[in-house]
Amino acid sequence: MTAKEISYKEITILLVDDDDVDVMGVERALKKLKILNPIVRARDGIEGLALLRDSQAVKRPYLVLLDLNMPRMNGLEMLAELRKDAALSSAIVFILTTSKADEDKVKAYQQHVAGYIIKSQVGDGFLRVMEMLDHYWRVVELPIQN
Amino acid sequence: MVRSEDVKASHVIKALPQNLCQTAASAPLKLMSDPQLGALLIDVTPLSKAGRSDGCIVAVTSLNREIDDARATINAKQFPLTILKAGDDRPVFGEASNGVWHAEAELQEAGLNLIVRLIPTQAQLASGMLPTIVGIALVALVLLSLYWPKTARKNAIVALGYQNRLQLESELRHQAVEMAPHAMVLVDQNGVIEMVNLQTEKIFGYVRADLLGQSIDILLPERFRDQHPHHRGVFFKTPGSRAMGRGRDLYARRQDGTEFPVEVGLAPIPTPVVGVVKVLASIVDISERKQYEELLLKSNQRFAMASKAAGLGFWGWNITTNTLEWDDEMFRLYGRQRTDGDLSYTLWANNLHPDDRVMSEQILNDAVKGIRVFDAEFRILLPDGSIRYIKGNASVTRDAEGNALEMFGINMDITKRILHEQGLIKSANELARINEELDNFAYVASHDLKSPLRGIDQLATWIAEDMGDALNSDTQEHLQLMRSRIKRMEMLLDDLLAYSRVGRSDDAIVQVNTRDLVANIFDPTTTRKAIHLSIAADMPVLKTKKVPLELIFRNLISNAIRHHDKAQGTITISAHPISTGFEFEVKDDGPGIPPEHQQRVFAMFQTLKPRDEIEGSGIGLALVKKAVESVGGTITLKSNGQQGCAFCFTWPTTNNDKEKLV
Repeated sequence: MTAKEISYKEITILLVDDDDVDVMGVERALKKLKILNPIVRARDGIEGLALLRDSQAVKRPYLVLLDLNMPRMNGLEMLAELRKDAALSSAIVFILTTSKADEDKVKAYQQHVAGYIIKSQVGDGFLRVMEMLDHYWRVVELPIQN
Repeated sequence: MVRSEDVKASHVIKALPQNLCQTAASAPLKLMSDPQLGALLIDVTPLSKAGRSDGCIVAVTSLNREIDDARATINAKQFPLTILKAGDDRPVFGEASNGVWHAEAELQEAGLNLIVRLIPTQAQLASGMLPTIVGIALVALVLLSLYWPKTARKNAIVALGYQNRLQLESELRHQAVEMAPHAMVLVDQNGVIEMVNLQTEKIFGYVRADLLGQSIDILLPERFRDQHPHHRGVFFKTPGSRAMGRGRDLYARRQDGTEFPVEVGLAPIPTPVVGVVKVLASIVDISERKQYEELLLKSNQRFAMASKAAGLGFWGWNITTNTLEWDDEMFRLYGRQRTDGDLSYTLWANNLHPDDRVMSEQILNDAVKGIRVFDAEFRILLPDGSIRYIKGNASVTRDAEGNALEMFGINMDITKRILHEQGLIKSANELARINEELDNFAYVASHDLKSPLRGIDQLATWIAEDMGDALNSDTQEHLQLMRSRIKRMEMLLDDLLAYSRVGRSDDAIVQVNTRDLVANIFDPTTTRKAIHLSIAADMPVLKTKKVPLELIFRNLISNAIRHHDKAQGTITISAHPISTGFEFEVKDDGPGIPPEHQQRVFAMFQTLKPRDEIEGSGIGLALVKKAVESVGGTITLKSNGQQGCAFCFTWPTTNNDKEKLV
């Protein structure tokens, strides 16, 4: 395999968010940017973990966009579960939330998230976020995931 | 000093040489019963026949009398005289003197080594007759030492010759009675006084001759005289040594008719005549002791009253016999009756609250073992089932080996204090809970209310994007207005969250350069107006909570920019030290705030301009006020309502730790 082939390898996005409008926003932004990567959506942490543990549901490699405030299992709880799970502990996770609270940021980075992104700043929707993510996986080498 | 007859007798016997063959004198003794006599010497001169001891002469002499006599003989009375025992600084005669000059001679009399000092007075020294005085003094001392032994015998209070030791001892016994520190009265079966001693004369004010042959009743107050023969009869029926009138207060009567409290001991004295017994009564004046007893009683009563008023109970526990002694207040504290019967350790232990019993007994046991001091707070259960909180302190007395003997302590009712403390803790917990709830509310408000809001915003955006030109201009404007209201609401929610978080105690205290702080906050690109920021040169560097200070400057500066009504303006920031810290001022040259509105600006959700004109949540200044007050500062507004306004706030640095009760 050449380096070029790796960089074009399809990356699955697991979007864990209970808000349908936000999910639509992400999809809309990807469409606008003509990014065709598959998106898998979970409505809370429990569903997210279940999907991640099924390698057919979330094809490797993948990265996670994680909302914080969700029913049943919130984002930080799911993050803690991920880091405890040997198979999932190296997952790349971006927090995508409305929470500006410092304690949320501190807790998230303590669990080694790749980035903490605050959902708009109403206005440009998820356009900039998705643009950034597109650049991210083009430039950054992802861990070997299985 | 001779304190009792026994001791005196032993001194006398000790003073006697073993074989009674040598001349000897005792060390000076003092009689408590007759201090006027001064120091006494017991002088023994053996009588011997052909080298064998045949008894001796014992003379009890008074140093005072002898010396006075000796001094009279040598005409040296005007010289103060001090006599010391060799090797002892306390004088046995005269005053201890620190006179500047004295003549001194040693006097060795019958094995007794005395130093005699002759000390001229200041006046005598000043008269300039020093050589004469020296001469007189030396002669006087020599004469004194020559004369004294001779005068001593002559002046003996008691001088007796003895044929044998038995006689001596009997005579000594008689002497012991005579010199006894108590009044001694010998009466026969009819109560007739046969013998009295020196103290009897002194205490009762009689001379011996007036007492001998009289009825003992003469020494009794008249009101007791009727009963006395009866008591006397009872005693003679079953004679034996005993204290008289056990349980009764006894009084005696002096010659002048005054009465005094006494203690009387009775001892039967057998006589050679069969069936005839006499009685020796020893009478002690106990007026002084009575006075002390009364004082003690009074002071005890006062103590009891004070302890009752203070709610203090006193207890004592004899560990070896396991007897517990409680004062009335203890019984009151524990709601028990003295008549309940139990007066041992269990009286206390059984009253302890079951949940505190193990702990309290552990502390007590540790105190007995000496591991720790008894200082405990515990609950007791009253008979009616209610609970009382007690604070107990105690100390332990121990024998020489360190074994615990007794424990003494106090108990205090601290129920009120404990309940008060519990109330405070409850209030503090409640307050903390409410604050937490408020925080949660603010979080929910900021997050859960914002999420749908953003949804609305996005949907509105997408409608505009998707429909594009298909929408007429009115609809486009409505969509625009909708989004601006959404933005306003988002700002409100953000400010509300900030308001709830401001002044939290966990803000870190760091070094803050206020000049840099202000310069970093100011961002001229946020406005199209040409606003210039002027920062004073002497802005302080302080150690303080940065978060609220930054919030204050950010809000005041952004307020000044947003509300500025001209195309150009200046915001001036300055600071000056005050006693508690610093006072900062944020001044602008904008429109100012009319005096009638100045009260309202710090209140929540108050704006002075319609929100469509100047965007604002109405929380900014409320936030600033709360931040200032969270560190104990105050904020004031100065404006004439026409030209500019200035916000001044104090920022204490001395007691930054002043927190609210949480």
